[in-house]
Amino acid sequence: MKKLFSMILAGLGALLVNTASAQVTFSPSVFTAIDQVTITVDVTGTPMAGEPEAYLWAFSNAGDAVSNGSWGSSSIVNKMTSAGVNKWRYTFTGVDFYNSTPAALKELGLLLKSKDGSKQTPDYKWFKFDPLIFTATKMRVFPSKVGPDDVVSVNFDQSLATVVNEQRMMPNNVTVVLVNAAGGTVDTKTFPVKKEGTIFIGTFIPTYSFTVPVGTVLDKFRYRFNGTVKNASNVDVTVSTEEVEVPFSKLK
Amino acid sequence: MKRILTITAVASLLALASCRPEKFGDIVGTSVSNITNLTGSWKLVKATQTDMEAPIKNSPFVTRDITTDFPFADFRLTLNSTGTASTTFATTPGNSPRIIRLATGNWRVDNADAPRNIQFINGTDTVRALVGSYPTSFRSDFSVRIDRVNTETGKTTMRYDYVFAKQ
Repeated sequence: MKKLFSMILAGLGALLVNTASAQVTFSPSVFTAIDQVTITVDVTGTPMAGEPEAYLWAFSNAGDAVSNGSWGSSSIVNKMTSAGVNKWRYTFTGVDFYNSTPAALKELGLLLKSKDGSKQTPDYKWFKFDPLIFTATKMRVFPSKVGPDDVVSVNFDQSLATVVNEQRMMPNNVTVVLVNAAGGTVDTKTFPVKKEGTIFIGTFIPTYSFTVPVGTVLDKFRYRFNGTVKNASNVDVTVSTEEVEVPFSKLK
Repeated sequence: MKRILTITAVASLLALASCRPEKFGDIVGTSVSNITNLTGSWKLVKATQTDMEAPIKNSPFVTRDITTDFPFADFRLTLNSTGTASTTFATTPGNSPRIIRLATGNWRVDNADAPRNIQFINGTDTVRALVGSYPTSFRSDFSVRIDRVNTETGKTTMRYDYVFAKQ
């Protein structure tokens, strides 16, 4: 019973995270630290709903945005532009906004607040910067930018795994979850994987391999590799890698 | 003497009149339509996908052969023509992903002598592709290249190359 309760709580937590992420959109959806990016935040349902103005409070793995100001008095530089009812927009370039280098900037987070800090939204985090230079990573997507109609290859390089189960597991398949623009799950499927050296690869085409209702706007997908490890009794136990989220780019 | 001159003149004229240009085949620079070479029923035999940003990022993962990842070999393309004028096309995907989203329509190329751009047109919908290579005396296949452009940045981020063999 306690376990069931924990699972429900975890599920609700994940739903809340998804809902929060769904309120933030980036244009372009995939961006590097030197790209100019426009962020749009929908504050409906947060304490900032109905406020006449909003200020961006941004942070990253490499520190806070240099123009945040103080919590009690946000800098006018971070004042956002209205993009409709309860929607606010701001444009920045990562390296300038955080006064950091492309190599240092990995991910960012943000919240919206009133100038005096008396009202604020929850934290929205983490959103990844697309790396400028290729770095071998445990989880990787080929090509680096994909749309819903493209061939997508998800890769798990076991030689780069640092978690014991991921190092020991024998990957059998990959689970992919398609997510729509509202943050809801569209479809979930599991695909076989093939091995090339130390890399396990699963391949799919979102609009071909899944059932996508007409009119659905696919926003991103999540994937994790599944496999087995032997426990102390030499019995196979199913384990999974971490789950990685990938936004779809708008390609034509 | 006058007679000899006349005979010589007539003989010379006859000799000149018998001259004919030799037939060496097509001469470089002469217009040769490739529409008829492209015309026919084609089967997809190879598909590759290239990450156009990979070389910029110095990534070793640039191109991937995706031919066997999906039943691409089912895909058929029929190009029809009348004389040297392109007319209609038809695609039959079978179980293959639709690499050309249009089922039927008209096709046309930018230059019949040396096609570079090919368009598949159905009403107001057009699929644009590049002709990577076309059939000649030396090769029987032709390839189509489809670029994927990021609408937010205007950059070509991905490329598909499809090779067709005549059925």
